[in-house]
Amino acid sequence: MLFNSIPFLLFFSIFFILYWILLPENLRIQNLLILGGSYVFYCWFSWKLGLIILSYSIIAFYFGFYIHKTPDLKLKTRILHIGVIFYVMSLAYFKYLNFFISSLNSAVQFSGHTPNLHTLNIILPLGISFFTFRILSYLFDIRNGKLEPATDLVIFLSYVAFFPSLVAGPIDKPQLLIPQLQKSRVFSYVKAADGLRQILWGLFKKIVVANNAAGVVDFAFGSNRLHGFVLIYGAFFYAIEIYADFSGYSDMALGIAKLLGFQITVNFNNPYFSQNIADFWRRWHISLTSWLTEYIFTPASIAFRDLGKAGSIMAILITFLVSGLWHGANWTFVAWGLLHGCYFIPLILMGKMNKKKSIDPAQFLPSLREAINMMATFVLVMFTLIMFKADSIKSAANTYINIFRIYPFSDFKVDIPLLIYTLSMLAIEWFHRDRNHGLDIARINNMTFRWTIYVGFVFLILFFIVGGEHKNNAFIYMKF
Amino acid sequence: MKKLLVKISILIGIVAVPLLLCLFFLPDPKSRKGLDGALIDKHILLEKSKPATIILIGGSNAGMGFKTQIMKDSLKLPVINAAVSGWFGLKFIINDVKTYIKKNDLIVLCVPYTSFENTTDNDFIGNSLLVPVLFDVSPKAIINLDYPEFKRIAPFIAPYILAKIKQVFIKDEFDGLYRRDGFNQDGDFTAHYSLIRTLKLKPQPKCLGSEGLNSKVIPFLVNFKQYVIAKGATFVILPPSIQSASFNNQVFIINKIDSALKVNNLAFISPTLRYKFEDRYLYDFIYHLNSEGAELNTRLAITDLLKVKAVKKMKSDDTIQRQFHIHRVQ
Amino acid sequence: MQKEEILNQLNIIFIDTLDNPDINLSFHSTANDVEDWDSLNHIQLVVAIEKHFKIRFTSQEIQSWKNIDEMIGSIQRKQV
Repeated sequence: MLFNSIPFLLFFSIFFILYWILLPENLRIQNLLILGGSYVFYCWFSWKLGLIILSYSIIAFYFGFYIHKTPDLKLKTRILHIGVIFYVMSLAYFKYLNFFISSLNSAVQFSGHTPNLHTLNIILPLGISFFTFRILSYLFDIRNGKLEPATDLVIFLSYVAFFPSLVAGPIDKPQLLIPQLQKSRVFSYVKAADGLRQILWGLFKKIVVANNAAGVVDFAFGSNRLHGFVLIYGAFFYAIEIYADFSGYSDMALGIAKLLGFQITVNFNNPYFSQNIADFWRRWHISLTSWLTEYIFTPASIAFRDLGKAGSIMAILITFLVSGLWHGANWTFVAWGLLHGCYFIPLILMGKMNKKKSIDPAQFLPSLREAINMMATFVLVMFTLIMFKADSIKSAANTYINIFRIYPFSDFKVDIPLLIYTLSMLAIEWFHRDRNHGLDIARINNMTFRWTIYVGFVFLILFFIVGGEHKNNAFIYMKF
Repeated sequence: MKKLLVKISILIGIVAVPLLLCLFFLPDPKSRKGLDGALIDKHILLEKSKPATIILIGGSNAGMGFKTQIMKDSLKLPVINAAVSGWFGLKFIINDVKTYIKKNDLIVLCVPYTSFENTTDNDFIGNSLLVPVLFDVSPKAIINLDYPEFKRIAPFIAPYILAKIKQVFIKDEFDGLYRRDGFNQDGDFTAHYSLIRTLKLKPQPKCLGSEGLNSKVIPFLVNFKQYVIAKGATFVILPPSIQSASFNNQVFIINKIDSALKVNNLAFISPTLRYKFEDRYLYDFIYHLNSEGAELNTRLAITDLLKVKAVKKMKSDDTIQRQFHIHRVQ
Repeated sequence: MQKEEILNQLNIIFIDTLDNPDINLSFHSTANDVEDWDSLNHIQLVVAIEKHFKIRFTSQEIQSWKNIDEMIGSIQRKQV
């Protein structure tokens, strides 16, 4: 189910009421409901997917115990590696086998022979990149002594398959979610209302901004007879679309979790207000950045620490290579990742990678310097998104070249309403940058004002939720 | 928890109530002027009709495909063209005419072949155009909606409400071809008679041979036939006028429809290939006839209707004939 | 070396590496307490510490420290 769909609305309404009314504060029942609900949610797509996540979770559960029980560090690590290889290989199987085969075929073809490997028809389990990383995080942390293995299978299964974060993240650390599953949740009106506001905000971003931006993007990239400027316009709205889509989804996930009494990982922190690329990655898809930092970048940095700045550069490139591959089975993702890695090089050389750049929340507008930094960072990211979106490196290169083509402006009109929604979204998030989310307005005392806003947003969302944009309903990050 | 649920309900109420009010009570001048508005006129025609009238129903193919006056003159019987648009869905078209059926009437259904096919339910259940009809022109039809139909048209309701609200502020100048005043007083659509087609008509692609029929349609029609008979009237089906090239490509499924209807005692009253038309008789769509085409189609239909038992009976019945002449003089 | 002396030297290293003169470490300081000390520049600090004390940590050790006290413990063990 998608969050913005009627089946989910029905499912969650029933689930919410059962969860808080059926023997509330009985931990066992609450957790069984979470587990059952998560599997219903996931099996809605296909029961085979449920089987995969169940078996993977059970395997991880027992691996966790073996790793923990083994006293010898070297043996611990060896068992960990077996587990890691298993999960990475199966991830690779589902995600990359076709990619690997067709790349191999291309390479073989290039050297003059006829390729004879056929891509298999492998269905990519939804969200596999996400739950695999949750499991790996669990196993790593047990080996590193940062975590005790979960003793309750229901809790562990619920951690892996937790339905708000299942399909497109956030990638919750076990230390965050498992302890919450070990305590019964008490209904809090304040938390639930906040959750609803966040869901509303997420829906606004997804339905009003992202879905509409998608139309503009398709138009801009779809025709070869438009002025190069239109591609820039399209790239701009692609950057907006992917942000509104993904962060909107994350807001919904967080809001839904709040309604159930959980606090899950914040995944976005106004990334387009970043002042450099390091800042950007601390604000975009935060849970993935944290995962990569902890399990790839840090060990690599430590291993290369004697090489000084060159070592850091190698570590960052490896990290972004993994990030690119995580996103998908296409050379474009690899190129995208490496581009970002390269963006870090000047920062590393200047020693500025780690300097946190925050803008005082009391400041009304950014300073000129800050504004320039933000726009520059945005442009850099926008540039890489063309690669991210493309079907192939060749196609991306064509797009880059086509930015310079000259054509009459005849068929082109700026989508003013979309621009207004986009600027509103950015403005609201700017002025609320010190809050948890754009609609964190509980502290406004005027109830009429607050309710006017809620009603206004609901109306706006309702009018866009139908009417021809059905094809844009799925979340972009769902296929990862 | 209760507090939250109460507040959610209030929010839903605040949103839903004005929307429902707009949906049901805000007038929709655009649809009144448009094709759906024509339904109102058809209803008036049907109301005023006397028993023993030939009533043509169907989609735009029927609305555009007949010259009713010629029929009246030739058959010397009252004829009404009550067809508007296939976008209402076959189900609506049939249900709409039910209340107007009088004794000895002859209901002639003439719909495109797509109404019988399994492609989508659009032609059976109806499309976006049904929404303004339901909420503005003919609200009592809402009762006949069942869940799958509601699900089908639900996505169109919100944009429709928005369009209605927009009309309050922006007067939409409606100047398309397909509007209410394109129909003449007999119910034929004639606005396009003076126009010449500019585009080539692409024929429907060739059948794969694996297509199936929509299983809901024929039982529905069987049911309707029983209803009509119970009212002392008759129900027949006339083949639709279709582009010749399209007919040839679709002959597999057309034959399938033909046999299915025969098996269920609903056979077309004449062979389907009589109603193949070359492009010069068509207007803007493979089922839409121009003036020349409408005339030819009417003459074909007259010949075929004369073979129908009910028509023969109507012509030989003195009382009916007398009524017709009095009505004509008026 | 005594813990306090190590703490003083660490403080200087931190100030130097993180370019922040206001750093004042205590035994219980964690990354949350010190501005600019995050996992990204943890490595830079480690390299600076290793250079200064002329020791070498293992990857395990580096990732295991939860606060300054534990770091100092590792340093002391290496100095023996």
